Amino acid sequence: MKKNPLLVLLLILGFWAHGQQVTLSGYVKDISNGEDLIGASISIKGTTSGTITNSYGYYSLTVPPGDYVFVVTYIGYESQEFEVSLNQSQKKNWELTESSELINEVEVTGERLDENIKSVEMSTNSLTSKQIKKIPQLLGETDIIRTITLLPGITTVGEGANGFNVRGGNVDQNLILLDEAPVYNSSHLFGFFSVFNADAVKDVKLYKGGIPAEYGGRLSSVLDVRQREGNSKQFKMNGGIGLLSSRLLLEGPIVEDKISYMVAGRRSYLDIFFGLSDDEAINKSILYFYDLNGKVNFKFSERSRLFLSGYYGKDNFGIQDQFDFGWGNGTGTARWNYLVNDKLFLNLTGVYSDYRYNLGTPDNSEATFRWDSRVRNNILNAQFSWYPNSKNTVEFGMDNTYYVFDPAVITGDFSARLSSSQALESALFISNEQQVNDRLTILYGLRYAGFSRFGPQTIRSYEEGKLIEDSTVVSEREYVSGEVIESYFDWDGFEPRLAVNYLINDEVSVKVSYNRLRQFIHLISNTTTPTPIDIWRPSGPHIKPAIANQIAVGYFQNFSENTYRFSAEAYYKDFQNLVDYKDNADLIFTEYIETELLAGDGRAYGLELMLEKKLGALTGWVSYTISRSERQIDGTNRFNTINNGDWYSSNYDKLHDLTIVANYAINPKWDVGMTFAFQTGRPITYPSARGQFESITYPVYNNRNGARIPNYHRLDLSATYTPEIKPDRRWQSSWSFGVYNAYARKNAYSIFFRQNETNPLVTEAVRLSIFATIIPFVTYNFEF
Amino acid sequence: MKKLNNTHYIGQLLAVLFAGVLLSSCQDVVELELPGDDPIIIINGRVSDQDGIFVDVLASAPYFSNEEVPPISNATVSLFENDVLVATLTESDTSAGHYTDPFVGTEGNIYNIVVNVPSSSTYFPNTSWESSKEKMYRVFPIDSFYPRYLPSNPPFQDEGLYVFLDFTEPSGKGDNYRLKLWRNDTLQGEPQDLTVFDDEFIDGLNFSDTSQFGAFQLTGSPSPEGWTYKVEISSVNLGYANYITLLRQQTLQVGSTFDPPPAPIVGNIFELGNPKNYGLGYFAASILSTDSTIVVK
Repeated sequence: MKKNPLLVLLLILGFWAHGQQVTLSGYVKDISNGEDLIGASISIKGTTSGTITNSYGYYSLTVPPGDYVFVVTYIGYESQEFEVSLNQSQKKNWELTESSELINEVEVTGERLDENIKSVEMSTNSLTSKQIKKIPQLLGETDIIRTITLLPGITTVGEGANGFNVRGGNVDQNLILLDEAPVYNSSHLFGFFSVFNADAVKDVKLYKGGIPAEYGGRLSSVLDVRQREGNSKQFKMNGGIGLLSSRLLLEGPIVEDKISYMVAGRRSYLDIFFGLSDDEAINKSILYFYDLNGKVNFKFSERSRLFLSGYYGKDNFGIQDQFDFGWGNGTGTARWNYLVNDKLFLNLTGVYSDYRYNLGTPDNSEATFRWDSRVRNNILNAQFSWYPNSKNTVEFGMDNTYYVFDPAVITGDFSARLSSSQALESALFISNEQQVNDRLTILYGLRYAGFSRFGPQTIRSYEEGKLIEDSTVVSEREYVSGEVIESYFDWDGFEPRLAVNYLINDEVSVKVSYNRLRQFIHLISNTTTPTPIDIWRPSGPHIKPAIANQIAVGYFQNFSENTYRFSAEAYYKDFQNLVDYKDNADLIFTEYIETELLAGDGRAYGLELMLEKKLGALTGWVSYTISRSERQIDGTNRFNTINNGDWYSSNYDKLHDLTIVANYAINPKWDVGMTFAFQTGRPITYPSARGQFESITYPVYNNRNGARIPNYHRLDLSATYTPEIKPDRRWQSSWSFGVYNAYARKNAYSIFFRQNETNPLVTEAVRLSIFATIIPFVTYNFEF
Repeated sequence: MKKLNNTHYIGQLLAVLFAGVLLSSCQDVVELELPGDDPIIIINGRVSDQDGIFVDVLASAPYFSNEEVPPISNATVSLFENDVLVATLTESDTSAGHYTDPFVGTEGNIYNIVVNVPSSSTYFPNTSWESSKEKMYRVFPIDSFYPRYLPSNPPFQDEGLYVFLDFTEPSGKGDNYRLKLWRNDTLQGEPQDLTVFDDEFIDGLNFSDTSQFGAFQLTGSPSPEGWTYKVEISSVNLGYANYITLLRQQTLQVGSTFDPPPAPIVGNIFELGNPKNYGLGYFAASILSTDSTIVVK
């Protein structure tokens, strides 16, 4: 049969026309300063098809050729529409304007406000810097970590605690990222303030569950903090002067719309006032922190951008020229974005992170002693975002982190050191968010993570089946530099991730998520709250990687056109190979730390309820969590068993947690706020009896965490005065006033037991409260 | 001058205000009801090479009872040396629950006790308890124990008479010691006085005025003339050293946010034939080294 070329050509064209898709792609930015807007929604008007911008403000939407009206929305900004006959792929960058009808920085139309219903994400909270600044804080200091503890499922062991606990997890189970650089200690001044300067922060996203495949290495949460890029349009300055610290931020273009910078600094100055005291115990002491954030961004072309950012922070504490100690994080990040094509976005990241602390005597002391400790990371990550069509978004890539742990180097009159450890953690991941139909969206992914520990180091072997202690050592082996000591590239390395969203209607959805995670590094701390001088240790022959599985289900409903948002989430987590400590563990300067550690299991479960009001003069939320967090150490004998092998409450198990946050805009000049928090008292071990040794009376403990300290509750109030904004005047300012702990509640941080000083036979219970009084604050904020 | 004074005054107020704000933490005694629990047997004792053996057999009491813990009388307390019964202790006529015997131990031998509580006892009737086996290790002799004048060195020390110890630690790592100090015939027995140390960093070293490391200073503040001191260095097992460290930690490291968690202070006492059921207290075996001095210029 003779082939008809024209027919063949028509067939080919027909197939080609049917398969042809076109792509609308570009960036969404703030028109006033050029900042990328993360999570902005771009949708096809009248449909459920759409996408959101990634962490760099980039989007890509692939559709069949045709006529469309695209709509972009972002909370706090006026939405925009773009009508186009899209017959070929096209670039479209959007520049959004903050809504002129803002009430409390919230966009009136609220189209973006249904993201909690439509997005497949659950167990997630996003906050902007502007939202955080509205919440009354201790001494007027805006604090991101304190703010997130007001959200359901997030607690701390008490005021002044270092770190935070998410859904029953320990503080070292949170992956804290600042522009993709890991932060090992998120607190200044022993937990009173976080290391994040809210002025320098653009976006904060917290994952408590349903953690995407691109994240790993920690069991309980990811706190992804993104810094601002810097105003690419004009020079700006803003800052604040408070009772405890002051801050200043400078930003602006170096080349307009091409190169911009941002520099921000903070410094506390309580110690300056110490010098005015006659009391030597005060005037010779030092207590301060400072931090510096910096960023420079280069836009080489529409395809290629480079971001360089850094952070350096330091805390110093010293008493009377006798000793001092300090700690701090330093990070440097280089990120390169490259548009391979309209549908394929590449982000390449290199990070150097250095967390160090030191303690010892001042340099001019007669007897010198210095203890230094460090954790260093060298990181190289690559992540692709592929947008094949409007129904699928694929993320894939790899992460590599090279660790160097220096737990202790002692110098001075006496010198010693603990062995360094080196390790490599690598992961590959891939995930796809697929809109199956108008109602069903599924995010499915897989991460494979492995870990290797290297020499040089001396590693012990212990008798099989016996306690790991000095007396059961069988042999020691020297590993040379680069030699693999232990490797965890195995079947346990697969970490499935799944999230499902089913839309019941435009205002109601139900969601389910599952994730499995492994953690290879562990914070070694047996105090109630970690101290800045606790050390991180890697997994190895005697410390296995910890594993967590979490499943969550949620019901989400919005009311009154998204004015109110309600969510109910239930979760269950189980943990394996969690590190715990023998009674009387000696963690200071211990070379073979495995002799002090125990491994056990954990479980956490709970129900989180949240009702938010996002629009109107009155905004805020009420959240309530009922939950349990438990541990079990069931060894072979009493030395490696706790509580006879029974389940016991973890240190941060709080059955009830209620938070009310409210902000009311009285008029354009005044708004007032309040925060009320109530939590069940945390577990504590009470003595069941008294014992005697020579003339010493001591408490007898045999039921770890078997009782609770009194319940915690606190009320904070604030008011902010913003003078009328004059458009022709560049200098703008506001005053914030308020009180922390408005009714002077003496919340117990802990209860401890001791002999009476004058009569040793009398024993007493003593309550330690961190803030036992009303604490007022006033802050002056300015912007230029 | 007036302006300077006002500024200074304001500065003082600010310093106090800010220090007060930051340090507004407080400690106060509170009333608590604690859940009760069954009493636990307490057995404390020691055999040495000099002053015989003593054992106290007691029962724990409710934490807020504010009384001495009750003694257990009429128990049979037996001492074993290398698994051979060598002494059965006698209860004191004047101190219930206190059992003694003049038997003295020998370096290198291994000692343990067994305590049988009679059926007539109010506490733990018809039970038997034993200690783990404790080896009697060597101790170093005291070369010299003496007072010495030190000049003022602010802020570390005031001028005055301090008490020093000279000794040479024997070579060979693994030795553990306890130090006890009596001042004017009174044992310094508060939790902060509990002192144990090992030879990890001092193995084989000499401590004296003429040595590289100097003499071992025992007092932290000047002592008036006429005060008397007695020092006792006793060899102990690693288990005992850990016990004392834990006891010190659990009684001293309380009241701050960075305390270690409460832990049971378990020694080396167990129910006979059922080591999972532990008692409290410790039975130690020690060689002693003692000396005395009087503070004179």
